[in-house]
Amino acid sequence: MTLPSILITLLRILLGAILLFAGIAKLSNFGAFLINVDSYQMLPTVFVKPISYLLVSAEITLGMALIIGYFSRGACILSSVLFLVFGLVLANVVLKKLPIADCECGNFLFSLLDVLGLQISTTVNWKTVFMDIVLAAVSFGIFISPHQGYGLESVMIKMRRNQET
Amino acid sequence: MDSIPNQSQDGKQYRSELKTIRSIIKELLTVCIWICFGAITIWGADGFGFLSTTKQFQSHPSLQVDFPTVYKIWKQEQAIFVDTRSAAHFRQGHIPGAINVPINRIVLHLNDLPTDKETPLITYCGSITCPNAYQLMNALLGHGYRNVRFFPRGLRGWLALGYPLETE
Repeated sequence: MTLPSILITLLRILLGAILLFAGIAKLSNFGAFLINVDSYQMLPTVFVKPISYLLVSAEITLGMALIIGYFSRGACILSSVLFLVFGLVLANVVLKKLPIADCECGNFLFSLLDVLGLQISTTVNWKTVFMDIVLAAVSFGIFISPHQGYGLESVMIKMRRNQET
Repeated sequence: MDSIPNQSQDGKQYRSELKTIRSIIKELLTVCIWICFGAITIWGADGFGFLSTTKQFQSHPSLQVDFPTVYKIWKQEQAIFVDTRSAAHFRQGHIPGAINVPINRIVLHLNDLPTDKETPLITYCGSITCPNAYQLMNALLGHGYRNVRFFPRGLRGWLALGYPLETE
């Protein structure tokens, strides 16, 4: 066990937890999430539901993959894309000054803090956009990191090697 | 003489890189398939009514108020509009004259509602996909209000037709 690998693993689990909690929070109040997606005014109403299904599913799936460390490289790329997309959507909200104040969906970290009872902000502003971009960068950083984290994947590789020898 | 091992090393490195790229693409595709399966599951759950987003569209038409009636009612002050969104949303803009009763804080806001249970009330929320107006209407009916309806198109529909907005 090396320190960089432990750090990478912890960061990956934190990202996974953020995504998973955000996905569960949205699923438990799916109606509110639909309003938010609709309020962003970036999609025709007919696409609001299908895209919402995909987004919630992506958050939960990627969150689980990152936490258990299975297919984590693919999950890291997709989660950084997801964070970037949310960052862009929120930037659009700020630029257009859309009447959206309570953000229960765009910022994953805030969603996690909300679930933990540590809500710090619920308004869409440049800070929330920046937070999403930072999370996207962290996610991509884990992907390109030369250090491999620990997880189900590394355990399976180890077992396979043991069997081969 | 040195070029042969170098070429061999380059070939090995190339093959190794190709293998890595292939495995990353495989991972990406697998995760994408999982996401699609998840989305289909959520769609199914919504279809079976587990996510409570479609109930409002199945409600009795007499409980709904739509255009142009809603504007007529507002203009002639025939009903009180009740905004189900959060206080922050409400402050940013609402139907003029509306009162704010966030869906998750009904009990705290009951005093803001008229004491006469016969007063006509119209609940609304953000847009047509929002279930909260329907839910609040049911909650108010449960609290004894007998003349409650909901405006399914919500504030987005109201704004789409260019009707006025009140901000605080």
